[in-house]
Amino acid sequence: MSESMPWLRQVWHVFAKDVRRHWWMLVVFVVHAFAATMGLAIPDVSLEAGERVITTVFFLYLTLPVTAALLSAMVVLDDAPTESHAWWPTLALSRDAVFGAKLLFVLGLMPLIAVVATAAMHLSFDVPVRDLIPYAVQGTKRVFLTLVLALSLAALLRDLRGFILWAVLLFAGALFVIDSLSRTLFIALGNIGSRSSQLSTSAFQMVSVALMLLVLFATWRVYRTRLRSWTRWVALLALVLVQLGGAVADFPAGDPSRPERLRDIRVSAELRRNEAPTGVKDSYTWRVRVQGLSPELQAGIQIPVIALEGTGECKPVVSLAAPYSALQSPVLPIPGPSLRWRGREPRHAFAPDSVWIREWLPDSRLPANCIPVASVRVHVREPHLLSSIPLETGASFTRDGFRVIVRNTDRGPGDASGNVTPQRLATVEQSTSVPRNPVDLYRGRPLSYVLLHEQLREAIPLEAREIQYSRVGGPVTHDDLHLFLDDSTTVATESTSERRDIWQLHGFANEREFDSWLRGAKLVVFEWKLLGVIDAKAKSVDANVPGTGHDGGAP
Amino acid sequence: MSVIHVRNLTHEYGKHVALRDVSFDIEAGSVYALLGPNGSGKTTLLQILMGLLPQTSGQVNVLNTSASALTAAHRARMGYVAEGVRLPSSMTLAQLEKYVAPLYPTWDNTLANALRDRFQLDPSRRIRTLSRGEHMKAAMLCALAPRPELLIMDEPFTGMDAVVKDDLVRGVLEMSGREGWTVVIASHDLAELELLADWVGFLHNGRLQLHEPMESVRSRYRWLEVITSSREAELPRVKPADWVWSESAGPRVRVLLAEPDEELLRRRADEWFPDAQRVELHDASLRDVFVALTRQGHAGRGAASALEKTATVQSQTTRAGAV
Repeated sequence: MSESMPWLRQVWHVFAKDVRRHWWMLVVFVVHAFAATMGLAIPDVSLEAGERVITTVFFLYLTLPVTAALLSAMVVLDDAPTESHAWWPTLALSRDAVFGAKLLFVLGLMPLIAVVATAAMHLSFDVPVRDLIPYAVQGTKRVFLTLVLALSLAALLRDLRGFILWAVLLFAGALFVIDSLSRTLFIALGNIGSRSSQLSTSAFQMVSVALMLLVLFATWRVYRTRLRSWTRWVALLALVLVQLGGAVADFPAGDPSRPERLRDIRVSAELRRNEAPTGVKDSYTWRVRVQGLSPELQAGIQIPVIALEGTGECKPVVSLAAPYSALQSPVLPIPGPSLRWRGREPRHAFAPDSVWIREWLPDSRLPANCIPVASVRVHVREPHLLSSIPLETGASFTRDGFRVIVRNTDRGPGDASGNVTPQRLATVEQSTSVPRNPVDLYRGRPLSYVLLHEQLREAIPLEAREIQYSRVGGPVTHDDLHLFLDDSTTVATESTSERRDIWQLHGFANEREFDSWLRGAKLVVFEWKLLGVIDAKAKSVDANVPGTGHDGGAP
Repeated sequence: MSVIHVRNLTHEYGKHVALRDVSFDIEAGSVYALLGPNGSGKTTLLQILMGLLPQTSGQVNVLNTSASALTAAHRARMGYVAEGVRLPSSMTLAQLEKYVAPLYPTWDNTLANALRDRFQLDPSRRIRTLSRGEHMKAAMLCALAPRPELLIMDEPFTGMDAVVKDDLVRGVLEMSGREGWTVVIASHDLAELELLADWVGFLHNGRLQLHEPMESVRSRYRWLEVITSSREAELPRVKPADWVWSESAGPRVRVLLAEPDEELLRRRADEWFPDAQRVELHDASLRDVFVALTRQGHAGRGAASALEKTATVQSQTTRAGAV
C-alpha cells in the first residue's frame, strides 16, 4: 500500500491551507483583538477624547467574539463536515486530521492571538509576569468559549448564512431563557452565606468544562460520521445556556491558598426583625461582625443580601441592602520612621469591627413559611504600596496593573487657579487592567491616596470621589476621580457655626504654610489586595422572633 | 480479485429505503457502468463505496477494507469525481493542485499538466470563476493525476461538451487499460458508457436489477421486430418472462428480449405471432436496454419481478464465470 502523508503533517497541511485562505480575515481578527485591548492602554488621553476612545474600544471589545465566531465558522465551513457535496472527505485526508487542523486554528491560533493581545495590554499596565498568564487567560475566556461554540455550531451547518442565522437564534433564545431565570440566578448568586457557594462555583465550573468537552467530543463525532443528530444540537444549546449563565455567575471565590492570617478571623451575622405597624413595611436590622482581624488588614462587606426562603406563596425576594462598606482601617505601610498624621488618621474613617444594616422588605406581612435570610460575603484585603508621584499635572505611574495620571491639580505647586472648593486637591484618572469581578462593588475603589511629606514625616489622607460612573472599556476600567482633603471635621463643625478653613483643620497656621507643605508633599498610592473571602449567613427562624446568628469561619 | 465487494447492502434515509439488499462484486481492472433512473440509489451507493456515507446494514468492502474504515492511505489509492462536488472556491487551480498533490504519493505532475492542457484549464483562474463543465474538469484533474487504483465517478460528464467528453472517455479507457485501474461510473451519458464500460449494473428503486458484463448485455438483449398481416398486431395475453419491453403500432411490433439465441428467438416469434409476415432481429444498444428496463420498472411490479428473476439468474451465471 502506498504511504499517505503522516497524520501530523496532514494537520499542518490543512492548517496552513486555512491560514493561507483566510489570511485577510485573520489580519482583521488580529487588528480587532489588539485594538480591543491595547486601545485602552494608550496613555495621556484627554478626558473628553478618552470618552470617545473608550466607547470605541468598548464597542470593539463587545464585538470581538463576533469577529472570532465569524472567522472560526469560515474556517470550519471551508471543509464543512456535514456538507453532502463536500470535497475534502474524498481526499486522502484523515478526518481526525481535518478536525485537528480546525482545532489548531480555532482553539489554538485564535485564542493565542487573543492571549497575546491581552497579555500585551496587561504588560503595558506593568502587571507582574507571574500574574500575566492567569490574567491573560481569564481575559480570553470569553473569546475561547465563543470559539468552542462557533466551532461546534459551524460543524453542524453547511454555509455561513446558516451559521449566522443559527448563531443569532441560539444567542437570542439563550438570552431569553437567561432573562427568565435571572431572578433565580441572582438569588443563587446572593445565596452566599454558606461554604456551599464556593462548592457550587467549583461545581458550576466543572459542569461547564465537562459540557465543553462533551460538545467538542460531539463535534469530533460529527467529523467522523458526517452526520447531524438532535443530541448534538441539545448539547450545544446546553453549553450556550451554561456559558451565558456562567458569564453572570462566574465570580472569584477568593484566594484558594488560605493565608495563615485569615485563619483566626471570624465573621458573624445577626438578623433582627423590627415590628412595624400594619401597612408599613417590615424592617430588618442586621449586624455583621468581623473578629480577629489583624491591624494591617481591612474587611469589606460585599453583596449584603436579604432573601426569602420557603415554598408555596413564598416568592424569593432579593434585596441589596447597602453598597460596599469597609470595616477597620489598617495601618498604611509607608516605609520609614513613624508618621504624624495631619488631621484625622485614616483608620478613624472606618467603622470598628461591626456594621449595622437596616433593610425593608416589600411585604408587611410575610407568610408563615417564609424565612428571611441575610447573607454576607466579607472580603479581606491588605494595603500594598504602589507608587509615589509628585502632585503635578501630568504626573503619572504605571505599576501592577494600575495606571494613575494626575489630570490637573486644583491646589498644587504652580496651579492655584482651579481651586473650585477648598477641599478639592486634584483630579486623577485611575485605570486598571486587573480582571474585575462582575459583582465586586469594590472594584471602583481599589486604590487609596495619601499625601506624604517625606522630610517632615507627615501625611494627610485623601478621599477619592468618582466624578462619574466608572468607564468600563473592555478589559480596562477607567475612573475619573477628584481627590479631596478629608473634610469630615468641617461637616462636624458646620453645625456649631465654627466653620474653619481646610488648612486649619489639618493643623496649619495659615494658608501659606499649607501651600508650602503641599509643595514638599508627594501623592502616595496604595492598592488593596484581596487576601481571601469569608461567607456568613443569618437566618430568622421565625419571622416574629428575633433571628439567630450564624458564624462564618475563615475561607 | 474483487476491488469492491458488496453483500446485502441496505441504506435508509429515515423511512425512505434508498438501497435494498444490494450484492455485487467488481473485479480489479474493470470499468463498471452503474445505470439507473434518477432516485434509483446510484449516488448513495457510490458515496457508501467511498466511505462518505455509513450504510444502514450490509457488508461493503473496498480495497479489502470495510468502506466505513477507509483511511487516508486507502483514499490515496482512490479518486472520486461527483457532480456538484464543491471545490474550494477561492483557490486558483494552481493552488488547488498544490494543495492536493502532497496528499497523494502517486501524484503525477506530468499527467496533471497533460490533463490541464487537454481540458484547456487556466491554472491562474479561481475555482469560483469556472463554468460548470470547467469545474468538473478541475475535479477530474485532481482525481486522475494521482493515478488512482480505483476511480469512482458520479455523473462526471456533466457540463462537458461532446469533444471533451469523447477525449475523456478515450483517456480513461486508455489509462484504465494500461494501468489496470478499476473504474466505477454512474452517468446518463449512455453512449459514452457503452464505449467505456465492460460491466454494467442497473439500479431501480434501490434494487440492483442487473449486474453483468457489457458483452453479455450486448449479446443477450435484442430487438425483435415483427410485421404482422393484421391491421392491429395482437400481443400475447400473458407476456412471456423474457420480454423486457414491448410496443406496437398498427401491424408493427417491437419487443426487447433477454435471449441471445437467434434461432430460438425466430422459432418463438412464430409461436407468439402466427400472422407474422416479416421477422427481424437487431442488436439493442445500452440506451435501449436502459430505457426498456427503466420503463418496465415503472410499468408494474409483476413485470419488474419477472425481469429481476431473469437478470439475477443471468447475473449469477456470468459472475460465477467471471470469478
